[in-house]
Amino acid sequence: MEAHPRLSIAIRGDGKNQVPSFPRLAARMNDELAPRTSGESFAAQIVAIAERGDRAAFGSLFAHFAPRVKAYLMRLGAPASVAEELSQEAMLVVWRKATYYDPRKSQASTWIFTIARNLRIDALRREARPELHPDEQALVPTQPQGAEESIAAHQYAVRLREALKTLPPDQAEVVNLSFFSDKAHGDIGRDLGIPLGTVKSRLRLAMNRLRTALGDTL
Amino acid sequence: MTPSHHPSAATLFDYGSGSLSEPLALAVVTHISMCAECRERLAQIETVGGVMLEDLEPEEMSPDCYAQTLARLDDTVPIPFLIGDVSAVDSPFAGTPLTPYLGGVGELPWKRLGRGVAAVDLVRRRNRGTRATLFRVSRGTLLPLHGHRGREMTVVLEGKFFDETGAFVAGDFIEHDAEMVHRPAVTSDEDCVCLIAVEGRLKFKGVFGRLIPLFVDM
Repeated sequence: MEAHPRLSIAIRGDGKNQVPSFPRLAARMNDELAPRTSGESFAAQIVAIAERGDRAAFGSLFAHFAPRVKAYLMRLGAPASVAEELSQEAMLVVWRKATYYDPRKSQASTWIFTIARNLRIDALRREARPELHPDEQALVPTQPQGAEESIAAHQYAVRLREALKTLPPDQAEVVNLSFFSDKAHGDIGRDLGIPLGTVKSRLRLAMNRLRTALGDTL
Repeated sequence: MTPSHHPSAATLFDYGSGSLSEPLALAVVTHISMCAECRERLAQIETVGGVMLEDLEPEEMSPDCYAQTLARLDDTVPIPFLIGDVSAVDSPFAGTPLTPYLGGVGELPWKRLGRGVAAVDLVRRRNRGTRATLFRVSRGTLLPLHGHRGREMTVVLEGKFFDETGAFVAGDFIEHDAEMVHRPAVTSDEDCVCLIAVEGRLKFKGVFGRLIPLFVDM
């Protein structure tokens, strides 16, 4: 038998029979559903969890992101019940790893996307996800960051969203498929009936366009 | 030292969206840990992932879902942020994405494969017949001409090597598609250590090359 390295992401309680219901908390949480909060305050909410275990902050993150993580997992083929369970797991990872979140480096949605992505690989594909160590500049001292760092992470995502809208349809299609199909670009090309070189060049052009939009001259 | 050979945009999209098998993902993230430029490129791709997550139509969650999750918060201990990995400081690649795959501390279990070549299996024949192997090739060794049945990704960790497509130093990432046939060689001044991830078995060329698979499980 081969060893199977796994990320330890699953966090479980003692069993289903111990899960009480919290009708009042649930009701309070519904009140908090109403206002749609911006990316910046989602980031502040993750920080609030890290600093003081803020449950209200957790509630509003849950209300916004859990249904979207569920949708993401369903788009990738998970049955609704599995997707819902994993979206709960993803939010528990948000709670548990909030101290690792750096609002200067990434948007809340980016961070939660990576959590959902890794959880999906772990749970549905039963593979470990090789990751950067949190102290990630381990092998080589990093260069000073480029202009991007002066752009707030939020502003960065706003510009990226705008740039995504301007992608030509053929590029947008392969970018979409790379996130919403469990397929590497070679298989995506086969599904679309286009040569490997074409898929690669579309993704390269898409990336160039996004980088240009971000003012990245690398 | 800054790497000058990087993963293609298509390969970074594969990694960022979570569609690479574990061995190939390990090769990509090992390069990323050594390359500030690719960390930036990956951050952009993950931001695209976050934007796409935000833009998904939310799926309805079952009514008691939030209450269940809240109940589990009590059993979920937040992880304090740790800098550095003290558990494996003696390992040659401590603190890198390779660490969890090297199993323990101290001398690696190198297995001799032939003259001038030793290897350590990291991930072996998981999905899609892929595997990741650490190779140590002695100075002045010419490897047999071979082709591939799938993608091959190489990250140079120490020393340098060259083939028909160029010369590569520590940090460089080299990827070949299935049609590539090449004959890597290591120069006479130092040994070379590489991480190589492949899909499918190699195809050896020539009379000598065709005999190799009889002796060496590649």
